[in-house]
Amino acid sequence: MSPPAHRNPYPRPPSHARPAVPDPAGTSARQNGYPGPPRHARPVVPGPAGTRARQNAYPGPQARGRPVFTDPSGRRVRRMRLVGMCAGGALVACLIVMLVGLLGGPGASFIPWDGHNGGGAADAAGAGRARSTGPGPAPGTTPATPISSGRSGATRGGSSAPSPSAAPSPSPAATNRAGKKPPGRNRTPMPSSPPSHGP
Amino acid sequence: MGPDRAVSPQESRHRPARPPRGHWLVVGLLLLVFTLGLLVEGYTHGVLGESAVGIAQAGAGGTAAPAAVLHGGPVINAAGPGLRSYRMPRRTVALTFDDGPDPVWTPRILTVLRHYRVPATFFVVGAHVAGYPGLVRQELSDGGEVGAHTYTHINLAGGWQEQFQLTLTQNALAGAAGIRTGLLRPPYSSEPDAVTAAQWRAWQQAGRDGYLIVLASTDTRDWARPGVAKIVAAAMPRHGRGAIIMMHDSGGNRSQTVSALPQIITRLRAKGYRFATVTGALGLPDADVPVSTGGRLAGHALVLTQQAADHVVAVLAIMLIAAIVLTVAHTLALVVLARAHRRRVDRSWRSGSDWWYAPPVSIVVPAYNEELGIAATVISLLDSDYDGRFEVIVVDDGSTDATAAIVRRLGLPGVRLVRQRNAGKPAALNHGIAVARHDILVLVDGDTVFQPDTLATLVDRMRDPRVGAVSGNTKVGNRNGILGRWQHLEYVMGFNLDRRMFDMIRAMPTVPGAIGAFRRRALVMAGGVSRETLAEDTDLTMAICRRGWTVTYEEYAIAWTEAPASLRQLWRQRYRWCYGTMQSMWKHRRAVIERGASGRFGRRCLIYLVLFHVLLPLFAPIVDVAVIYSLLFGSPVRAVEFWLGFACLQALICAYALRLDRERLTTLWALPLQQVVYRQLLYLVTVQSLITALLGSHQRWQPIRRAGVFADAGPADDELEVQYQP
Repeated sequence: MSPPAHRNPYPRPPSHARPAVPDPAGTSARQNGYPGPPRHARPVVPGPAGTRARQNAYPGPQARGRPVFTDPSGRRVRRMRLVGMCAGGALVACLIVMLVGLLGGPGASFIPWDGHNGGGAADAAGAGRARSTGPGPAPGTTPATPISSGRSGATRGGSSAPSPSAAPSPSPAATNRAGKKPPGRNRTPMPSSPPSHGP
Repeated sequence: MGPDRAVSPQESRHRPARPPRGHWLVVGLLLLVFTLGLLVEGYTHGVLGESAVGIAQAGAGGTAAPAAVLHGGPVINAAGPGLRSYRMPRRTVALTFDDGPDPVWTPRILTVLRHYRVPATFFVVGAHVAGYPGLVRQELSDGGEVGAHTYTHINLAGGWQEQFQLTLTQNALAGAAGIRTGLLRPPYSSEPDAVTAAQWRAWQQAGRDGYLIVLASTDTRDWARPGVAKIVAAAMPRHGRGAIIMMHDSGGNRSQTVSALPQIITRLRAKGYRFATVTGALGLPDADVPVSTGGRLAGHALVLTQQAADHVVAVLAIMLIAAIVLTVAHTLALVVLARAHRRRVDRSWRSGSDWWYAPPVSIVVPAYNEELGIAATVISLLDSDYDGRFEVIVVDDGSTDATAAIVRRLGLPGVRLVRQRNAGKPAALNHGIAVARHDILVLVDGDTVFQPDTLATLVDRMRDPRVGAVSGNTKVGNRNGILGRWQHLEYVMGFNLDRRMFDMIRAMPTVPGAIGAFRRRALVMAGGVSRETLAEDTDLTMAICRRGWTVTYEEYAIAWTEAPASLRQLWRQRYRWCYGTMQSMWKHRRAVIERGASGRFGRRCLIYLVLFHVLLPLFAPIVDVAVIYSLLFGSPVRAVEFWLGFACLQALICAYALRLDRERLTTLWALPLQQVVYRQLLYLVTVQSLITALLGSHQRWQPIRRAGVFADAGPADDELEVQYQP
């Protein structure tokens, strides 16, 4: 069976669906074959409707409570406001911590590498290091350094003080090295996929 | 998303009390913290993962460093005009490890070093220091030395972020171990002769900032994993020279390094070498000095921030997966069920009866200040091709405009006008239902227009005596303008697919106020239209469902409604829907644990609503955040692909929904744009509704001034009147 003809006439364009001007004569209404106005179908003056409501056994709204979620005492508002202010304060604290962490911090230049020539290890002082070198290969090889060879971990237990035996020998900087590498060839690898974060 | 009601001026009848606003500040702050965390995380790992830029920079610039550097020792003091470079003493070796600390490999290397009692120097990446502060403390307490290797392993070759990177690294060290360091090994450097001009300039700057640049004299190239033997061989200095040996304790699998290390140590020892830290070998002051309390605090802040940022991204990932799974599952379920529904409707056409079920019907139209639309509504109703008798009852809810006059002037037969003092839409509906004479009631909004066949198709569903209510199919009448199109798409795609699905699972949460048919007995059993919620239609429908009635959906019963034309109006409408739906769900929450029809309804419908209409909108913005994040820091291509895939899926579903509803597909072009403004608006509405519900402060929004239409209104109403004075 196919649907009755009037059953599916759409889409009716929305602009037509709504007459722009009310039809005061009501002509269009009468075309629909409505059996005619019942006596009290006419516009009615407002009146007490309660009696009629009861005739219909229709409960009406009297059995209703107050709107859902509402809290007339206002206690919840106050509590939530407190919670909100605490949350806001915590977030502001978070922001401050983040900004301090990202922007604050120790300044530069704190270890006087130059002024410390010699430092605690008097014998090593000045000797092997810190020579401002001119261009060009400096003369030759360094003499043998005294080695505290046999003992394992000479400076173990703290890099703070160089062990006395670890006196660096005078080693003029800059020997010309054979097999010079093109710049940028040797690179440390990237730490790929840092393990600390999620996907 | 939510129940389907056309906005009507009725809801603006009472000046609403100001909705809560303070929470937006908290939400904004939360967003700021979240964004900052994401930026930190994105900066850290985006830069860490992005090697191409660093390498390209490292290659540029040519070699323009002084020959003293190129041919000098591996430890360089680049500060000031007088350049100094240092060479390791003979038969002295400093083992150095770059890129750490790493939670897997650093402890293993430390174990080996401890076993052989050998000190080492670690050039650490600041972000890893912040991530694993304990490892740095371990390195130091084992007698090692720590130097900087920038914060995210960038190439120091000029650029805005170098100072920032070094400060961050010091900060991380201060937080992790309470120290700062004077040593710096620039990433992408190895031996002094591989320095470029750009790098050299950057190093000079670092030297002026107080850093001693520590390069390597022996690069094991262990990061390339050449094999243990090759690493050991590469580590051996020639002819008893001193050496700074470069290895790595992070950045991938370092098992070869760990295996090579004992061999290197034992072989060097056999040759008479001793081991020292870099400064120890050179007789320089200790590079790691304690920082002040302030510096320590700032460092702790950074460590906390970095670790929190890592967690933020982890949480983001979990929520993203949850959101995607929910969305896809939802979409698939919708399509499958809508298809099944469609089939069932087709079947019922074929096997349908020849006659129309056309009992006498009362149509109730509540109207408050509907002077613009009421005439069209009433005329369209009377225009119905309905076989049975029907009456139209317009309930004027104390309109202050000409609504009543217009209806009266129409003077149409079959139309009754009842008036009441303004008491709200639920009261108006109750009034209308009470005076209606027939047992089938059709409730229609005052701004809705029926088609001639709408009434017949709608009421025909009442033929089944188990059916307590029938929902019609609302369509957006004003589709001009982008907002109208968006809503049209949403009605077709969201609401109607939803409704087909609800029909299939027999758990309809909403018969829209715009068009619905009800059996009087069902209304009476539900206790009439309640005013406890702002979505009285949802509340009513749920009540009917819980009492075992079938509530069904008739897609052919079409009602044209007028959708809000401005964002502000749309916001208010959706706010009311969303909040009202939440109220209704809360009101009927017991249904979830009840037995029988009510429990069935509760477990199907309420759980669905909680999942997809409350939780999903709260989680869904994560998808947007993730897309933006990966556009900025991840791979933009992947982000665009992801977004396109999502959009295509949605477009397909939308096309299907449009076809089901026999709508033209041309509106689809508005869909991509819908994702940008409209969707976010709906998310915000959900947040606002949830907060409003939590605050419980909403009673003033619905100031119900009792009218006395129902003469026996109880004292509770008088109380309400006092409380709800606006």
